[in-house]
Amino acid sequence: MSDEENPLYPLRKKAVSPVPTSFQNSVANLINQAQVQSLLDFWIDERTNLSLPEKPVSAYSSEKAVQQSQEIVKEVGFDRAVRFDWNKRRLRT
Amino acid sequence: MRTQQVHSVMIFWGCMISAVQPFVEKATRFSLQRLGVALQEMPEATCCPDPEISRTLGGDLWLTLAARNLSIANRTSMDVTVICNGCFETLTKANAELRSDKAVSEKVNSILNRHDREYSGSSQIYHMISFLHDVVGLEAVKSKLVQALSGLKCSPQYGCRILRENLDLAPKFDRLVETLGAQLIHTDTERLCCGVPTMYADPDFSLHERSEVKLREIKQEGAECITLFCPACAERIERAQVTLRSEGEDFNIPVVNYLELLALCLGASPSEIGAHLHRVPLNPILERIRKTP
Repeated sequence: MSDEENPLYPLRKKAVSPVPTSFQNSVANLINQAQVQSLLDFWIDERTNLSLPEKPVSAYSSEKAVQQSQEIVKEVGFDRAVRFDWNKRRLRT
Repeated sequence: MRTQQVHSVMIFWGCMISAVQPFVEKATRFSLQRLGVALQEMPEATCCPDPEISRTLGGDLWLTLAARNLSIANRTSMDVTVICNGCFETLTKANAELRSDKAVSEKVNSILNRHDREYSGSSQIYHMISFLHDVVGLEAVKSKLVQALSGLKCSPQYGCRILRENLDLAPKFDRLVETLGAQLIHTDTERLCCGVPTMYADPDFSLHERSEVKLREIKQEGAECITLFCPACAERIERAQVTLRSEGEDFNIPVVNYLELLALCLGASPSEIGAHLHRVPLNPILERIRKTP
């Protein structure tokens, strides 16, 4: 489990801040909404048009799930590792 | 998979299907209902999380969130079935790591317990390919079909992650496609990555050295569509065609999830499952669907 030493993937190096630009949106989404992919209004409308629930039964519709995920982010120190600014809800650049 | 759950399945949708491919969710729900399978949701599930960014940047977070998702299934004593290859890799690998290392699972549970959750390791992870092939069964699928693809030439995109996790899945995928009456078009690049993992580091390489290489060969071999399960592969290969069109290359090869083909063959109308939402129109497929005798 340690990021420092992984016997299964010995060449995998621990990523260090700053997070690569191409990763930043996904990381911020994961922290802010507990999902990497955002659910945009367009797709909410299309879900409704397809007679699907407006939002799926997951973190997309559960504030509790998002809060729990954010607490875990803090507990494992991921927010510090990626320099996430909780006030601005994005990564510090 | 446990026999008492043959006609019930707990699905982990992941983020891509729910958020940008609801037509796959709709097709899945339609197909399972027609096959007599009860669908269970995973309430409060989060991102799997993705095996590219999350695991690379934060192994501890990746494992703990994956364990949290698995704990939702553990509570119900059900196994988990996954459509997305990325989610399949994350949940399969996390489950194996947590099961094999007690110290790791105890450390993860020390965090989850604070949130009234517990990872027990009681759930297996299955790809939808296995569920349809092994649990529902090819004959049962075939018996419910009301339409067939009448020799539609389909190129399979297995997705690299299922090839890494379980070598049996590719031939099972082939048999599922043939069950619908389609003709498989195999290519030398069918096991080549679609380009998603390299997209973050080098979009140009991902587009031209992965997606375009595959599209060029699939076109050359005369395939009329690409079929797959992985929503990330679908997004990549469909979007690549839009980008390449602006560069003067018009491949115009529909990219369709197997579950959409299945739903159509089980009697769904194209509009009912949102076939119009694809960036590359599915017309060549829709024109080949015929009622079964």
